[in-house]
Amino acid sequence: MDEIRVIDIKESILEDNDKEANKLRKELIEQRTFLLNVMSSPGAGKTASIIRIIRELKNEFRIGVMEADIDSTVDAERIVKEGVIAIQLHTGGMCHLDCGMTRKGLESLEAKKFDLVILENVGNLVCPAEFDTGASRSMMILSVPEGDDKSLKYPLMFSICDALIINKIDCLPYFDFKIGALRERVKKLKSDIAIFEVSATTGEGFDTLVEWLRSETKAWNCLEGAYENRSIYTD
Amino acid sequence: MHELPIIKRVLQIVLSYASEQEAKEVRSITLKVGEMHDLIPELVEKYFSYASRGTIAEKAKLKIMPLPIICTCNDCQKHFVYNLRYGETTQGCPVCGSKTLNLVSGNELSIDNIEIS
Repeated sequence: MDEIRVIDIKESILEDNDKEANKLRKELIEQRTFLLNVMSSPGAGKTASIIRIIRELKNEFRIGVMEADIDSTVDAERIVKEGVIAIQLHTGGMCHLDCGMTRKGLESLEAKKFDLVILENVGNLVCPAEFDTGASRSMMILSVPEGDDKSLKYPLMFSICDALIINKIDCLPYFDFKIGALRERVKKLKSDIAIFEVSATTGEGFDTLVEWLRSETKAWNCLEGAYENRSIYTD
Repeated sequence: MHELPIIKRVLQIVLSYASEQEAKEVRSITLKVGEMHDLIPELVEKYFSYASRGTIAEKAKLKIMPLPIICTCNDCQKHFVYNLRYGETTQGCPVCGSKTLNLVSGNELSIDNIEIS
């Protein structure tokens, strides 16, 4: 009978991607480009929110957008109509982007030319949370019709984001959505998450969100070397 | 569905170590999976069985060690296990009741060891 040997590995499965992501973040600091990773389930309002943000900030920052979808160019076309450069990334059937794919997208976009690049990730609350894209900050959008219990069902997503946007607040009268309960649940997973209540349809709440993004982008672009290069994904 | 890219990476790492050790067969793979990842064991096994076909790991037994979510309370600094399934009834820190918590572990996703022959 063959002898069985135990080999200790003790290696993080996603270590390669995590290392790549940290390397990309360092490069983004050096080239003074802020990369915002926007995630949500399909239909929560990523594109509509990004359009609102672009309208408020395009005269202050050079903005570029990367749209990631399994198929179609529908979202990129909407962004381009706002007068901003957008490229469409097709993920080849993958349900998320990893750092390698993000880097290729940034190269196609020639991201060095931009102060702010917004990555609209694939509509999915599960997989994108596992894979660090190398973004400066990650933001997720939860819409009122989806319900206030999503943080119980998808805890990883909520725990890795710097900001949570509660969208479609104009629909609150029609749904049993308890904002207070959601805030409490989410703060248990990530106590320092910034929470914004907005409606991409009416524009309500976007001034506060845009102010957050404005100050994050300025901080990133100005503090080369001095900026705390933390990865939100490392324990 | 996020199990698939994760399993592909597990297989890459395992085969690399096994080849270094000149193994003929991988008998088992022990994974440490923090509860935040919510990997479905049946899918992990299914994808692994598919991905490992034709390799020395195709008959390996997958052992998944779940690691609990551990939080610290921002106010009293106590550590405790956070049970996601009963998140609603766990109103906060079991010691002082505070609702400002920090996740300390539960995010791990690693290969602990393999058995080879």
